[in-house]
Amino acid sequence: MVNKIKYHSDLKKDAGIIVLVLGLMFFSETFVFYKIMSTLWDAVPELRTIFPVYLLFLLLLLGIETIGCITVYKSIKEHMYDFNYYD
Amino acid sequence: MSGNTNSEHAGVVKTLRPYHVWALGVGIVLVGEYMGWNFTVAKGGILGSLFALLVAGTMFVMVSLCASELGSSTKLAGGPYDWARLFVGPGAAALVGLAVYMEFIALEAADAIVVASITNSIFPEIQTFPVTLLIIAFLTFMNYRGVVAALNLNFALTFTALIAIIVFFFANITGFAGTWHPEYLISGAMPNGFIGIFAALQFGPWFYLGIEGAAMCAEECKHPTRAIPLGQQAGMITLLLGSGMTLYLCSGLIPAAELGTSVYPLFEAATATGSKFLIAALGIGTLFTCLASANGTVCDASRSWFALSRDKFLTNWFADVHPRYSTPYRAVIFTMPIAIAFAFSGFLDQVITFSITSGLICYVMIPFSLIRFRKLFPEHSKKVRPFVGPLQPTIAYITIFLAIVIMSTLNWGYSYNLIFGLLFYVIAYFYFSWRYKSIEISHDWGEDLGWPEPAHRR
Repeated sequence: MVNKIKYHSDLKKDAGIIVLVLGLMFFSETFVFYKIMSTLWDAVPELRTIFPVYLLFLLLLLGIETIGCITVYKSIKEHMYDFNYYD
Repeated sequence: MSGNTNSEHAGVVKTLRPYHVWALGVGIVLVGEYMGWNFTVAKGGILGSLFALLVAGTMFVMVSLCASELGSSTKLAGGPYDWARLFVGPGAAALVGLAVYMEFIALEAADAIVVASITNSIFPEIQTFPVTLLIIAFLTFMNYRGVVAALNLNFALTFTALIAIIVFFFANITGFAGTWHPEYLISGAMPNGFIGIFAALQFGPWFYLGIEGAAMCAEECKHPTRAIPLGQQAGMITLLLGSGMTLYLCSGLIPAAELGTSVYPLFEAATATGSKFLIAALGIGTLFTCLASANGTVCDASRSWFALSRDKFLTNWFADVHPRYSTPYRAVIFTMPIAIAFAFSGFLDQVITFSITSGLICYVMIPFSLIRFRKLFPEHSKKVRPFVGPLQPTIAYITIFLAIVIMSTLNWGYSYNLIFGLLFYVIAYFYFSWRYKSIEISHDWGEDLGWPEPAHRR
């Protein structure tokens, strides 16, 4: 007999850790990106030409990683009873 | 950890959890934040380095999603080698096995060179090369004796090194450690123009190189379908976190001209702050990550060689397991002369370039294996594909494209290395394809993996 309360509690712990490190990653990546771009924006005029490429890859990186984490969460939730993940 | 042998893993207790998967992947790779990545600055300045971080980061996020799906589906310890063997073919499998071997051996040599350089900077009377040899010999011996305790120690070393980066970052942005110099960024923003920014991509993979190795412990996981995707994604997030923080700290604390040639940039950045605590923490972190990484790479490289030998791609002589220590001792010992040969060159960037070239071969083959896997087994059942990666196979195609683009950038400055590397792998592919023809190996999907026959055979 599966203890559903324990399973949901452990699933929340897994999700909580990922949300925490994901949040830290969002903060650090956007902070570093902003600091470097704002420092060089006026000093390096060529930056304006290639800025959209930088922005595209930043969004791709953060977007795909976030989608990946959501997919992992859904996968664990879907199979946790089948494979007895939290026993 | 990537030993995929029946003999070695027979009776293996499946105890590993997601944090072990995280620690295995990050343990090998975190050294990339401590050294090597800064060659991106020499090529393309700070903007080149940021570009490399973002493009390579995007590619590795996608590689890691491919590895999560393949690892949690096959649950085999050979990782990329097994995926290519199952879904592509024998020539590709041998090619990937060899590429993994070379990627990790070159990484081991690079780690040993850095540890020796640090020792030399502390004790100038000690020569670098003998220390490099001593480190390689010591790590080979540790792996000869067995690595379980060594890997547990690795986890602690890696965690310490990661915490050192995070503490350093927050200490700096809150004004407690050192002054961040915007003028360093401006003076070294893009010294070689747009071509330099593009050329910087060639060293971008060093931020994350080897993270796919996390999926190699699938066979020893208690719940691989949970541990692999969770541990792999957590590892990838950690590396993204570390790489961004590292670039920020080093770019603002070390002038770009010095940063581009530094052997241990994070340690030098800490030295620039004048904080004794941070100097000690980052010095220890550099040593710890180099040792942890080198130890992990000896382990993974030897298992890859052992797997090639066991499957008769190489002489079966290397497939012997030590009767007492249960390690593939001949394959372990054989890592030593190859690592010494790499270290003998003494040029860190050359060694790193070969490791990156080998890694990029894997980053073409891993998504290709996933594309083939999805074609052979289109069903999303909990038996065949318990973790269904997002946006596939689109991101697999993009990964292949990015890996080839990054590989092409080696043409700037390392064209001979690139040509030699590719020639080496092309010859290896044809040699192993020819050799495999003479070996009778039957493959039964039901017996090996409990799967139905592939779609085209039904």
